[in-house]
Amino acid sequence: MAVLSLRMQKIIILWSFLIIPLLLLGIFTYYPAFSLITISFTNWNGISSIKTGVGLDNYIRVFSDPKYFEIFSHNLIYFFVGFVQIGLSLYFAVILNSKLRGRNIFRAILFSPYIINSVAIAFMFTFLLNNEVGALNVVLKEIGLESLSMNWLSDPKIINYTLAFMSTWKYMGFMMVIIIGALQSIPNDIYEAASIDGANGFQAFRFITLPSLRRILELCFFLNLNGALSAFEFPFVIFPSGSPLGMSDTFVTNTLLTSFRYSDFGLASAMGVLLMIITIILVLAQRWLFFGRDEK
Amino acid sequence: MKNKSLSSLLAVVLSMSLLSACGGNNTSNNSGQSEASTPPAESAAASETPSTSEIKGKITFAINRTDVDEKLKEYADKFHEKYPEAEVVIEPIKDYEGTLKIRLASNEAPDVMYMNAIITPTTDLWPEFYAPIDDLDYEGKTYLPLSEYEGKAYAVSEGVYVTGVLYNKKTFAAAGIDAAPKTYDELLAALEKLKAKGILPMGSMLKSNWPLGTWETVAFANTADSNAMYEQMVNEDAPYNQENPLVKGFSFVRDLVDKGYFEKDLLSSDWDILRKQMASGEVGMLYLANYGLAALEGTPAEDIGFFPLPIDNSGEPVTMMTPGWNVVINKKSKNMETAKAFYKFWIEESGYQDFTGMIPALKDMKSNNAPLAEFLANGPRIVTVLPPPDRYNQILNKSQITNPTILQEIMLNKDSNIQPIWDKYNKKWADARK
Repeated sequence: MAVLSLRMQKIIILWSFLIIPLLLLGIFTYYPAFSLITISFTNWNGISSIKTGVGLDNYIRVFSDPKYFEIFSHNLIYFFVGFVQIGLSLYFAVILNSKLRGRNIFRAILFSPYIINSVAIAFMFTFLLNNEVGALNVVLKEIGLESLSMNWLSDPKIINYTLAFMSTWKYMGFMMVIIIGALQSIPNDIYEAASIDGANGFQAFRFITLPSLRRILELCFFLNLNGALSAFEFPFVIFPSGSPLGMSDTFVTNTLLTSFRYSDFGLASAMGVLLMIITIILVLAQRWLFFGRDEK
Repeated sequence: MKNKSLSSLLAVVLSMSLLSACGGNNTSNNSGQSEASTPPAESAAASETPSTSEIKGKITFAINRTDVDEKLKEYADKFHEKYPEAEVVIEPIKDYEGTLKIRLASNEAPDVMYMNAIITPTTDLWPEFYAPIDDLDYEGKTYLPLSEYEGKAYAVSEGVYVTGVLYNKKTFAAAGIDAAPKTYDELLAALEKLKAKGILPMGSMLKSNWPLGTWETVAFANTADSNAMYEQMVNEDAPYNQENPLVKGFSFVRDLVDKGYFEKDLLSSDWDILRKQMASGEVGMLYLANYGLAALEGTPAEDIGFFPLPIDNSGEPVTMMTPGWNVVINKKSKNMETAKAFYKFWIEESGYQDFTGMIPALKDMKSNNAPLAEFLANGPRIVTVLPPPDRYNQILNKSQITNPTILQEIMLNKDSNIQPIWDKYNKKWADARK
């Protein structure tokens, strides 16, 4: 057998390592995305073997009915509450990165909600926040703050904040861990030099920590926007067949109902494609707004 | 150059061998499964009569109950006892309709399953996916007609529901109500008594959405059958007018809201809480069907009462009969005879109908549920409510209308002027009919 050249060996090894991840990527990401786009031009009902092409009809239907876009006002709430989440995770990350006693335990406690299944979290909060028998309102009543007790999960004005808070509770720890990772990569001697120059704690945070976290904050902002646009898990688990008056529906729960309840997979695919496009546009816009000026 | 083409060729060969390795693995798995599921033929020939020897092998049945695993195992054991060579795996599935739709479309459906208009949106899809059940000979023996398409029967419902009001006899006694109301006036008087006692007169279950489907059937109380309304609606551009039975039925409900017999905070009204509050006497009545009989957790069986909802003052009891889940056999089942045997077993012998408080599907089977037997013994007039025709479903799907959602909106409306809501839905309907 002929001896293979070094180049050949490299190529074979390269391909044999790459082929599996590439196949997985193709099968589970690009092929479904491609089918999504194809289906969005048909009137497929989700089950029959015939898919009839209808051109741009589905897109026209989405754009001609304001109800599909009005729903983004709910997603907007998730977006703003998301900034509270970023702030909290930054705060906890900075605290738990210092030499605090028992910081590993605190980190684990704050991270643990992320591991809990969303369905379990939703059920837990529906019991906790029930307006009559829920622990929160009962406690508020007992300590004389009855005026603060509310219909957390049934008042159309409040419910989206409640749901957004639930996702904050779940994802805050995850974001904190990302930020802690970035904090640990900041060399300590910069802080030492700054303290020799007489910088106080806040100045060190403002002029050393924050600029060093720029990249990672960018990621957090991206995750927040993406999560807000595609928010669906909690409203979907709590109201599987759509919420009364649509009070907590989001764009994605609407897409799910369109496909699985109303058997309109063509329209739902068009909504999916549009969501993808909207996400790309908004992510680019946000990036330019927050970080554009000092981009190299 | 030559070198490069050789290398890419090698890469292709390598990837193909990897792929085929996956494939090979798969096929060996499959054959292993089919070997395991088909018992040796000679034992069948030796021990069984020819007619039952066909019934062997393993089949699957997908059910929507995920909370009764013990019971499901009991049914599977009972089936295995009857047909020792056959075995059924009963698979509980959450989010039944969504999951089964995907499995059906991808040829992964179980041998026996439930079917409705969400899983197969139009009836002309039935021959494509389901096997006809004409040879099981249920024609004419069931309360409700079989699901038929072009002269072939595809499904029978596993049981039948009748609508009525559930109540706790102790709560009624405490509020000074001696007998279940028989006329509309008596109903209002009873609700008033409950209200005076500080008991919630009627639970709406509005937040849970699906229980509102029972109120939908009030529409048919004054008709002979449901299809006349559907047939009329699909030919109109503004079907929700004052003559429409659905509009009349929903106005009936709105009237009860205006009189203050439902919760003040309708949006928090939840079936899971109300069914437990029945035991403690916090709620007077729930309008549901007989499935509620088995679901009132904590209320002793002898205290549960069930009466037909009086919608007028005629004094003649009327109840709406609706089908339970329709059971179908997968056309591609590998053990068709076993699937059919199980189908027959599930409808006739399993005992699932009694467990869930359903009326068995066949006329000559009797329900063993006491309140239900009492209810039927009074001989109420029965109106059958059948699944609507394809065209009606198509319009609803395209306009994204569901009747429980309309009712939610009507009940939550600030004042009793609900005409704007109907105008909105008329417009949606007209747009979807185009």
